[in-house]
Amino acid sequence: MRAAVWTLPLAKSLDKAREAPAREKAAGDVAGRAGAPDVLAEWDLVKRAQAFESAAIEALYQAYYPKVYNYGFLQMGDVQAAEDLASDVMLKMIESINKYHFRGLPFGAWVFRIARNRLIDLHRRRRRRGEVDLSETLSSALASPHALAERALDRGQLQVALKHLTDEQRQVIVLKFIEGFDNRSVGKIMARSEGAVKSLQHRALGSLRRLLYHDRV
Amino acid sequence: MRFRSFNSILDECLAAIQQGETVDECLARYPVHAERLERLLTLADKVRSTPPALPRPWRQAAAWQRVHQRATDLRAEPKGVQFNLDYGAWLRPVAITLAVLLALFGATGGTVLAAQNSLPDSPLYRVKLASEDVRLWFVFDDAHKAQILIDQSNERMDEILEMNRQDKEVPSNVLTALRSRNERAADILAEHPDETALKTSLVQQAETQEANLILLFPQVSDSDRTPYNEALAATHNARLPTDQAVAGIHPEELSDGVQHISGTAEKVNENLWSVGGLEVRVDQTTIGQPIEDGSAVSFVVGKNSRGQLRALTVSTSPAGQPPSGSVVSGQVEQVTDQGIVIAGQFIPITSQTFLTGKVKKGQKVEVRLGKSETGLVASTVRPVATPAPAGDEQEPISQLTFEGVIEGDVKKPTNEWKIGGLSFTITPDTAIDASAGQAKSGTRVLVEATRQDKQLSAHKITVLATDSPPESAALIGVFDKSRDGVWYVGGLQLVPPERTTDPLAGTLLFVDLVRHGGDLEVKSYTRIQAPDDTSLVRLDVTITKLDGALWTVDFGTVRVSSTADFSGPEETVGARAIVWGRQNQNGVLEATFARVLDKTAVIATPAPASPVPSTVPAGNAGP
Repeated sequence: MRAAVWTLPLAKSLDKAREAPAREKAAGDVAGRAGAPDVLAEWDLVKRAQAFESAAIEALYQAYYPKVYNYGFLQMGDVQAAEDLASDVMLKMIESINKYHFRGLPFGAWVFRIARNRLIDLHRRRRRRGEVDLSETLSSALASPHALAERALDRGQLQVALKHLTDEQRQVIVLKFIEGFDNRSVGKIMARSEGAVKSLQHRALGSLRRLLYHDRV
Repeated sequence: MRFRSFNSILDECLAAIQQGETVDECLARYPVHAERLERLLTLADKVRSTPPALPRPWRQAAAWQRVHQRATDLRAEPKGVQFNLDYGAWLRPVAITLAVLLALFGATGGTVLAAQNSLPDSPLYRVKLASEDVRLWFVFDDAHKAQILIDQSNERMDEILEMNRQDKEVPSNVLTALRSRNERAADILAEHPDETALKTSLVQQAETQEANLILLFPQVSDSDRTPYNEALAATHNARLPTDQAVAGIHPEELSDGVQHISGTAEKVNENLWSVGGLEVRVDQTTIGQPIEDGSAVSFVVGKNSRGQLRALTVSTSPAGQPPSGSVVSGQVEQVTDQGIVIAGQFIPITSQTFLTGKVKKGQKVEVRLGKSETGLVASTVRPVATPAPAGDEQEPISQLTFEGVIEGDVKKPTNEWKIGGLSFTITPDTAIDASAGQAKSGTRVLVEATRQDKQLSAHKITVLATDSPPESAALIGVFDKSRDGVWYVGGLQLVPPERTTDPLAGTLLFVDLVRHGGDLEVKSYTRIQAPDDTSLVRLDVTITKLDGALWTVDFGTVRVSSTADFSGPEETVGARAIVWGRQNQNGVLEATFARVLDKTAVIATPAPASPVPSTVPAGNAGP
C-alpha cells in the first residue's frame, strides 16, 4: 500500500531533507515501512516547525491551507465557512504542533484529524442555529449522460451528491480520493479500522455512483 | 482457492491504479467482478480528477498573518513541561492497563468488575466501555467480533432503557457508544455477506432499538440532540440491506425532529407521497411495506432544518384497526410484576413496554396501548406531569385539549399552525393523525397541547371527521381562576356566560366555545372532574362495537348510560371518542363524560380488537 504523497511548495526544504542521509534512523525505519520517503522528508520539516522556524511553518501552511479549504468546501459548500475552517485549523496546527509525534503516519493525517473534529463542532453549531442548507435536490447532482464519458466530475455535482451520503461515506470519499490519504491514515483520521475503511469506501463509491448516475452497483 | 471479499479486491485495484496500473489491467485479473469493478474504479478515477476548490489568495494571505503572528508569540513563550497528547496515544496506556487487569484478574479485577454493572451516569462507565474495547482487541475473527458488537449494542440499549426507567436523563456517552457498535457491526457484516444469520440478528435488534430511540425523543435534551440523531441514524442504517448501494439516512435529516404522521397515502411522484396534505419523501432508506395509493399508513419521519420530511419507517394499518394506539390516563391502582391496574382494568407490561420512570401505586400515568400476540399490552407508560403551581407572577404550565378549525396553509413546512384563532407551535415531535382527511384550511382538528410561557405547544394534532363552522371551538382543561370577568381554563382566557357561578379552582371542564373576534366565549360547559376526585380515568379510543349503552373500545367495554354527560356527534362504530369514567360496583367501567369526536367512521371496516383481560393475573405484587 502506498502512503499519501504530499507535494510541498518549499521544494528547497524537501530536497534538503531528501539529501540528508542520516536523519532519525528510527523514524526513517518506520517511514520506510510506510513506503513513502516524502513522509520522512515532511517529518523533518515538522521538526523544524516545532522549533517555530518561520520557513518551515510557512511551508506547512502553504501545503495544508488549500487542502483543508478544499476539504471544508466540499463538505459545507460555503466559501467563507471553508476559509474560516482552514484558518482555524492552521492556527490550531501551529499551537499544538509540539504534541505531534511521528509514528509512521503522514503529518497530514494529524492535521486532518484536527480538521475533522473542527468540522464536527461546526456542524453541531450550525445545526443548532438552523443554518444547515440541504436545499440542493439530488436532481441537481445527477450527471447528464454525456458526463459519463468525461474524465472528471463537475465539482458542484460532486459536492451536492456528497451531501446525500452518510458522514462517514463522505469522509472516506474526500479523504481517500480527493485528499489522497491511504487507508491507514483515513482510519486514523476517522478513528476507524483499516478494514472498516475498505468496507466504507466500497459502500461510499456505490452510493455515490447510484446518486450521480442512478444505477445500482 | 482462498476466498477474497469484493471490498478487498476493490481496494487492491484502487491502490494498483494509483500506482500506474490501468483499469483494464485490473479488470483482466478479476473477470468475474469486471462489470462491478469497472463502475466503481471509473468513478473513483473521476472523483480523483475533480479539480480542487481553491481558496481566495487574499484570504489565504490574511490567515497567514494570524498564523505567523501566533508562531512568533509561541517562539517567544518560555517552554514548560510538555505532555504528549498525541491523538489516541494517551488512551493506549489506559487500555493496556485495563487489558493487563483483565488478563491477570479476569472477572475479579476490582475496578473493572465493579464497572461492569455501572450505568452511563456513573464515573465507572468509561472503564466499562474501555474494557469492552480491550476485549475486542483480542478477537481476530470478524464474525465473532460482529457478534460481540451486536451484544454490546444490545447492552447499550438496555442501559438507555434502564436510565429511562429510573427517570434519568440519557447522557450522550451511551448514545455515542450505541452508534459506534451498530456502525462497526454493520461495517463488518457488509464485508461478509455470507454471515446472513448475524445480519438478521443485527437487523432485528436494530428494529427494536430504533423503535425505542424514537420513543425516547421527548426525553432527550437539546444538548444531546446531535449524538441522539447520530445514534438513531446509525441504528436505522444498520437495518438497511448491504447488498444494495443505499446511502443511509444522514443525521442532518433528523435535525428538526422525528414525527409520527398517519393518514391516507396519496402518490405525488415516484419518491414523494402526500399524507393528510403533508409531503413525505419515501425512498430506499424507508423501511416497511410497499405503499399503495389510497392506503392507510403510519409514517415515522425525520424532519430536516428546512422542514422537509423523509420517511424512516412506514406501516400500513390492518383493515378495521385504528392507525394509532388508544391511550388510557389515570391513577395506578395496583402494580404487579406483570402489569398495572387502572380503573379496575389490568394492563399487561412486557419487556417491550417503554417505561419512563418507575411506576408506583397512586401515580397518575398515561398508557399507550399496543398489540401483541396475546392481545393488547402497554406499549408505553409515562407519568402524567402534575401542573406546576401558579406563582404570583408566573403563569402555570397547563395541559389542554382543544378543538378548532385550521386557518391558513399548513402544507408548507412551518413551525406554527393557526387553529381556532390560536397559534400552536409544532414541536420536533408533534404527531399528526390525518386518518380522517387532510390537514388543511377549514378542517376541524383536535389538538393535545401544553401552554407554558404564553406559548401553546402541540403534542398531537388529529384531523376530525366532522364539519364545523369556523367560529366553533371546544376546550378540555382545568379551571384555574376567574379574574376581571375572565375565566382561565387550561391556560386560555375565556369570556364566561353572564350570571354563572364560577367552578371551583382545579375542576376539569369541557367547554363549548364560540369565537367572537379575538375572544373565545363560553357557550356552555360541563364539569368533568372535581378537584379532589382522582378516581376517574380518561380514555382516548376508537369505538369498535356498539350494543345499547355498552361501547366496546380497545380498553375493553365502557358503559355510557343516560346519566353520563355526553357531547359531540352521535356515537358511531369507527368513530373516535374521549371518555372519562370509573369502575362501578359491578366491576364495569362506567362513563361519567363522553365526547364523540367524529361524525363518521374513520375506520372502514372495524373489527373489535381483543380487549385486555379484566382480571389481574397471579403474580408477585410490585412495590
